[in-house]
Amino acid sequence: MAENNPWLDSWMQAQQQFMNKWSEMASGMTPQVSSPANAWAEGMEKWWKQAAPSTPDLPSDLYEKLMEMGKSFFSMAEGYTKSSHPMGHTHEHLNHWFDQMKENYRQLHEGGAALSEQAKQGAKDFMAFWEVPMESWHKTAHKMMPHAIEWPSFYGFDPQKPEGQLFEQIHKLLSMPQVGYSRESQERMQEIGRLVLDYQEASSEYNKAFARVAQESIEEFQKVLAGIDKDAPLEVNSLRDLYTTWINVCEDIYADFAMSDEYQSLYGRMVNAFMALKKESEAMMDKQLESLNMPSRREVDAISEKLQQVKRENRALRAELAGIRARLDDAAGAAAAPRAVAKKKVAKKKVAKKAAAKKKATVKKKTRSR
Amino acid sequence: MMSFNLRPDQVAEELVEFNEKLVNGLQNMLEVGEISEGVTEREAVFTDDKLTLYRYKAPEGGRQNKVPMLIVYALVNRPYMTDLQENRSMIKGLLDGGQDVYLIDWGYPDRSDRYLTLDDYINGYIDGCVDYIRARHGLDSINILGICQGGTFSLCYSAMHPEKVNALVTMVTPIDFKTPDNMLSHWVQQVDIDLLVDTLGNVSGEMLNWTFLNLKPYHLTSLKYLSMVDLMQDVDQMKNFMRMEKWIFDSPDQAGEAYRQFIKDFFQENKFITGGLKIGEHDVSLDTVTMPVLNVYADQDHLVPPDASRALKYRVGSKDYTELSFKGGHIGIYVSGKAQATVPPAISEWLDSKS
Repeated sequence: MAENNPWLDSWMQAQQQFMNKWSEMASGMTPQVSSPANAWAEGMEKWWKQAAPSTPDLPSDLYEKLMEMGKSFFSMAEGYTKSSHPMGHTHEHLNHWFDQMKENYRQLHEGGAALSEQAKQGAKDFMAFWEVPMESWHKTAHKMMPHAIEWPSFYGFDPQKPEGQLFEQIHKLLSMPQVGYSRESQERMQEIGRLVLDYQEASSEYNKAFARVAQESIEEFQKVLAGIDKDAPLEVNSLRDLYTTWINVCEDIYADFAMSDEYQSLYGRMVNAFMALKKESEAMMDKQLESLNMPSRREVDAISEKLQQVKRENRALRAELAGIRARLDDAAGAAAAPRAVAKKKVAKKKVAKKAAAKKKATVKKKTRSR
Repeated sequence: MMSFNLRPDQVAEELVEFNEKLVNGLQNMLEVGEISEGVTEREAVFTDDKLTLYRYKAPEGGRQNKVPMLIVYALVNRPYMTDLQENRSMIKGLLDGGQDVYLIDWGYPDRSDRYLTLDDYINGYIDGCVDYIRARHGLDSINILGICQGGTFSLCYSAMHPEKVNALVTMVTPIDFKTPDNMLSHWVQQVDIDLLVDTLGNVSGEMLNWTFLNLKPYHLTSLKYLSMVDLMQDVDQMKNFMRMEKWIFDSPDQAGEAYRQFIKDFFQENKFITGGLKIGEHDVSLDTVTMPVLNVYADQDHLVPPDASRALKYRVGSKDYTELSFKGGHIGIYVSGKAQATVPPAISEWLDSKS
């Protein structure tokens, strides 16, 4: 299929670039400037930019998901191949690579400085999918904020460290009493400030817990690989086998974490903190809209609530009307038709009559349940 | 020393093969075209606000159950999962089994629907559909098949209006929302649902997608897309994959008030089990579900654990209670080849015996 496609040339170039990098790395002869996984991603990106304008129907988010998965897959290949040096000691090299990643997550967990950019990037590609729950939450949360605000990232934030003390100072500032004619709006801004900090703390705790669990996953994977070496309960005959084993280990560790009391608490706190912040931000937005003589969300909601109540009343009235019509039809039918025929009609319309009578009895007073 | 049966040159070969597959697959994707929603011929017979009631066309010349069935699907996701493609259609299986099939399509609630309550959904919309079908067929009662959350709604409906339900089938339906293996329930226990609904109004489909994806994030992201590269080599398989992908992320927003009550009453307070459930003016107890009940569950369901469904056995008032276990997952029960061959025929046979 690829033979007749205009994208072929650029794709071939990307392949060539990737294979050159791969050969350099596998031979161990040339120092690495850019890793093969990066070369692959860059090549694909270049190819895709050429191909994308002619593929309007191809969902770009699906392409992005495939690329993310590909980067992770290629990073594992890179890590493995680097570890499989001709001089041997594969186990030690592989473990060293995993230890580097663990160290990266340990530092993130403890809020310290991360490893070198190169090591960080390698771990990031390989572990990219580990951050799916956090990343997707941040994306979802970001879209839900009224101003699409980019909140500052405090990933790795630790209240015990100097930057944590800074937060403490900000907390104190935000608690200062306000005076004057703008007291109310100042207090509202202070409240939003407090809620931002609260959400940042909650989301940071959630992220840090994930960093810790990522370390545990790597440790578990190392144990599984050691098991392969000792007892050979699993066979790794392809990169795909290795990758699948890795994903399965991650999923198991994650499942235990997700069912823990700790996760329930972290999740609840983060979602609640976000909702409190969003609610206060929207109240502020409503004030601004009202000052511009524009309808606010609060007002539109109030209209929706009234509309829903009117719909319920209409439904009840329609049911009552149908019941009355059924009774009138029955009466008219009974008067006009011979008795036997009328009896049949009654039997047929009995269903609608019953339904209407039932509705009349039940739909009179409908209230919201909270 | 560790010994893998995997040399660097093999790894390189595997990567080249992967790359070729990926590029070929991306090109195949262009040939997939539009993804359809449902395949079986049907007619819209009744509408109410955004709800549409469909009746599916029965095969020519076949025997048909005199008592029609109404499928009540969940509010989350879309009901075309039951009729995904020609060879993966529970609806088709039920029609072939002689059932007269109606289905509720809830549509996509928007912000004007924020104040829809469970009472509006169950005693308003579902009851309206049931009355329409009863009147059309001149029957006092019909059969109902509730799926997942729609099964929970169907149980509530059957408890409140037992005289209108001839027989009830529940599929992958949660009854006990607090079994120890229920991850969704575990997560939501400390979430302030009042704050959430007061803040968001309707709960977005995107937020639900995030939640469902996180039940098995690594299989449902990384591993799934790795497997997709293989499927992408065949346009038909790719279409199947894309249909499923479309369905998974086709999540309507949830009407705020209904969501509030559903999460609080069922997930947090587990009122089918603990009691005290009230829908509108009705006190709801499973004791009054007295018609014959068939409870179908999947024994590898990660969304609705089997124990969450099986709890119905000890709570339902019916003396005629049957269970059907399917070896598969929450989605497989509608779409797998094994499910097609076993589940709809079993449901049809059971319904025929009760009609």
